[in-house]
Amino acid sequence: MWLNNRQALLWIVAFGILSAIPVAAAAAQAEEQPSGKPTSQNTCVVCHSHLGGQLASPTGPFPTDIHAGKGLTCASCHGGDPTSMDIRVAMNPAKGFRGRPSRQEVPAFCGRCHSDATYMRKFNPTVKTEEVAQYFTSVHGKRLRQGDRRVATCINCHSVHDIKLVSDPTSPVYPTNVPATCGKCHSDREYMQGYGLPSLSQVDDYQSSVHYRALSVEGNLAAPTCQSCHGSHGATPPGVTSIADVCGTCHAHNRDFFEKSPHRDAFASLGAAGCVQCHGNHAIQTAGEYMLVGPNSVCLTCHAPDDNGGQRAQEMATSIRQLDGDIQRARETMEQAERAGVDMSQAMSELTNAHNRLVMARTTIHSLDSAKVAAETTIGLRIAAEIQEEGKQKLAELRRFREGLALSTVFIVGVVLSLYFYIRKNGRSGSTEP
Amino acid sequence: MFSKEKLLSAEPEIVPQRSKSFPLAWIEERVDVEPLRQFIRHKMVPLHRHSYWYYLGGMALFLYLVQVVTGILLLLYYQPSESNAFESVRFIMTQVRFGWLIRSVHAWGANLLVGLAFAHMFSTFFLKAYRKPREMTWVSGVLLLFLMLGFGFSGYLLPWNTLSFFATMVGTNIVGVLPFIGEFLLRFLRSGDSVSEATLTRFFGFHVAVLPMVTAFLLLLHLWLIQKKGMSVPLGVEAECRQRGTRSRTIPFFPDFMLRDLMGWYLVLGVLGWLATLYPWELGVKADPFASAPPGIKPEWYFLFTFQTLKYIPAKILAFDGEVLGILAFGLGGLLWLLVPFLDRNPSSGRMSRIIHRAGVWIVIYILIMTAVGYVAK
Repeated sequence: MWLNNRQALLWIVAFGILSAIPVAAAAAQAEEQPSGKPTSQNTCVVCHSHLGGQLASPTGPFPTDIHAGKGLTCASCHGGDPTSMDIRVAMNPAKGFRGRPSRQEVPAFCGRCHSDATYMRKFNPTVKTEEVAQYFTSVHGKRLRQGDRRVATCINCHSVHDIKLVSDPTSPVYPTNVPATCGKCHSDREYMQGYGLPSLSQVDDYQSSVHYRALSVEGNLAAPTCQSCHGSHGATPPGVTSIADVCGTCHAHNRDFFEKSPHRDAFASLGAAGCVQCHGNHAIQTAGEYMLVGPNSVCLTCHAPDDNGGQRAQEMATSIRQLDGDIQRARETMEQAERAGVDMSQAMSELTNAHNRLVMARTTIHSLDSAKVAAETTIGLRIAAEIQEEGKQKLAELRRFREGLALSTVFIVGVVLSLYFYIRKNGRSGSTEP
Repeated sequence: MFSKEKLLSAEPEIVPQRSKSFPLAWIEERVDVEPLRQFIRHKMVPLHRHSYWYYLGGMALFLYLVQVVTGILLLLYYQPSESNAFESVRFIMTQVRFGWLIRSVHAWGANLLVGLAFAHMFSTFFLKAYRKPREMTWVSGVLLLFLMLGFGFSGYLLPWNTLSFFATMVGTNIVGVLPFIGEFLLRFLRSGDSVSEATLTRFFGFHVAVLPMVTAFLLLLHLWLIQKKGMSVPLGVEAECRQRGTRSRTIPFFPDFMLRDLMGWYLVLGVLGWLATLYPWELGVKADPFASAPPGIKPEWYFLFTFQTLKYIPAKILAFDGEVLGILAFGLGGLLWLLVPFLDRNPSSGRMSRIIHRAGVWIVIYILIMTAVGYVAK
């Protein structure tokens, strides 16, 4: 039976479309594998990369994702059958297809692997697997469970399809990127509305702090960022009683001195947080004797200059400033000697001991015991004085040597000239034999 | 009867002698120094317009003696081990009285010595002093220069600082690419696969025992040959004398030449004192074998022209490894240089070989340019 023209045209178009699909798929696959190296088929990428918009967005960055690097595919997280071009098979829940998780489902979605120690050990024998459990102890996790869909989940910090290792400098959780990552939400006044946080300037404050300078200017990746004090997966604001412990993880001596000092109970009775009471929290500045005495003294916010506390502060500041000054003078003398060409590396290394005493004296301030501070500064002052003396001796020796050099030069020039004139006078003409 | 005069004349004739000081008289009673005295009294050396080049050899000898003395003083404190080498040199420089000066004189003296040895060798070359019968004087002199380079290479590692460590690594690597014997030489020099404490101990042994012993022998041979064959007179001066029908002017070795030599020694001492005091030799940073090599690592200046040349040689020349060919070419060049008196027979018959002379000029220009390029190259 012959078809009319209209029917024939429809059949031709339909046949053309149907036959074009596998050709397009094959072409797309050829684009996906430009090297021509055969790999297992991943139809998720084949189709999604041609769908455009949000559906195509994961396919672009995914090849650089750490999961792709470890050989995982879309189906490893989302399930389904990536070998079938048929959408009904590829995305069939019967084939394990899980699709896109809701925000509440994200922690469990990631935790399917990341909480499985046996599975994760294949990739890294020392990897932690308690992140999801910790997350649900955090303010973020608790609020998520309460139905707050705006709080951070795994993907807000780690991103979604371009996840990098923490050690990768392009990762949003790389130490230098952490403040910006946290600040994405915590510095957004509009976004944070309704959470009742006392301040939204934490990131700005932190970026003015000594900790941030150590991280960004000195490149010290061990310097504290947000998660160092608040925790990462278990992020929570430290309470008044735990602040000393938080700071004490790095500043152990300071914490120990503070714990044994009269301030501990005094602060506790006033409900004042330990360290932050004097040092602040996010905008922590380099500590110094200016905090003990003078117009910016934190001691004098509670004490009077002539009371016991004020006098101890004065004593401690005086002895520490004296040590600091002596170390500076010793260093200047050494540098002067080094510029003159004297090797002072050993003295410089010894001066480190004096500087260590200075650091320890400043740490001992937290004991509020001026005698203990003086014990440290006395040792430091002795070392600094010895080095200062050594530097002076070296410089004096160098001066004497230069004088000696000048004298010996005069002598040598004198001898050479005398020899020259003697030879000129007595030995100029040699005998010539015929 | 005998007169008083006759009686006196019958007594053995008493030759009035000059009274001598105690040590000289004491020695002369036991050792016959008269032949030596006669030798010194009658030793004559030529005097001409190029005579001043002769003093370079004497100055190099003086610097070698300075190196021996300062080296022995450093040896009193130096400890050749990975854990102590750097620290002991630092101790010398910071704690030992005048230690920094001794070390600085030793380091600057080494560089001046190599420089003067090069200048002495090229002056001898261009004055054709190597011609018959002084071929062996030339050979012993060139071998002495090679020994000085060996002193420089082995001594450079001893402070065990970063620069010396990596320069030794690069230097021994270069030897290692030689075919057949490279692997053996590399392991022999390093006393293992890599530069380590064993290399330090070995280089120390070379620096303070093997090389000084060989140098002492060659130096005595060199000086003996100079005394035996006398100093050469340049071809041009000889030709002028022939034209005039006279012989070259001469002066007594002692005191005339000795005083001139002494003048050169004093000048070297003055320059060495200035350099060592005003530009003390730096110690640097202790070597860390696990650290990566600092950028722009270079050998000492006297190896720079070979190092720079090897950098410019392509990786492959026909089917051969470029670096291997370069090293073989330098080895062959050194051998030819050593055998110059036997290759250039013309000067012995009073003529000058223009090819050899021009080759020498180009070699000097090449060394100067490549050293300068190596110095400024990053």
